[in-house]
Amino acid sequence: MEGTQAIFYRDKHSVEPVNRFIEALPEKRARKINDYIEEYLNGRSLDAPPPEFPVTSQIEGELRELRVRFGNTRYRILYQRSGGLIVLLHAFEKHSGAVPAADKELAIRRIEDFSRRMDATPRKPPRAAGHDAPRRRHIRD
Amino acid sequence: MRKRQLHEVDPRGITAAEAAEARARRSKAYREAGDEYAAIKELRKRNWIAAHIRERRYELDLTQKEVAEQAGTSHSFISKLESGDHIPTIPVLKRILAVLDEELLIGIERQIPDEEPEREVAPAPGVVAA
Repeated sequence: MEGTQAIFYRDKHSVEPVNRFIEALPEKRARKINDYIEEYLNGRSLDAPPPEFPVTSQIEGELRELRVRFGNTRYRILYQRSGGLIVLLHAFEKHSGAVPAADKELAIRRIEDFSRRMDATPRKPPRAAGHDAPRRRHIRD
Repeated sequence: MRKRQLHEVDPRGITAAEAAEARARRSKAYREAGDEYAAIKELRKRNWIAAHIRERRYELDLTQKEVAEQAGTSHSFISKLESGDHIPTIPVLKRILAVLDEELLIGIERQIPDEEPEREVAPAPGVVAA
């Protein structure tokens, strides 16, 4: 896939909180949120600016919110970009003016956890190729 | 730095697109909602107010007939309006939006050379009885 790709943050217990939130919503609401994610967060050029207000807005630093209104309900998806990934961190129904501090802090904790665990991911060294690549050895004990 | 063991959980969950596709496969209502939003999106390109009314009515779970009755107009009028081929008068539009819990505002913009345009926005007037 070219451009950005929206993924769900997954915690150490294999729970994807935003996926779980959307799954629990009735069909029409879930569809609208998923369509917004597809239209505004997926497939964007890596050097493109974020979607403009009122579709998204900055929360703090690189943390942003996707704003979706369904009828009289306001949904917010907090997310942050990590390379080509748009990491969906936290979703909630908004009832007050500003994003509650507890929701913001939860999203920040999750992106910190995401970064820490990504940094700890074991990575294989690049495979040597070409005429000067070492000969493959088949070792059998 | 501590290296993550292979058995540890990957913090990258499934993609939102994969989750949406899975739901579309198992839910007819979800697919139908997708069709409705796609139609509204197309409509918005040529008639923004018609698209807005259709989307708002859809999300409030109101039928065209219910909106028509409460706004004092006909079912066929709402149907034509939502098709995008009909422009309502200001008083009728104001009544329809009131049924949808919204208020019609009217804006006027004046272009001024070398300056920001001047704008005035105010609630749309209703019909005053003679």
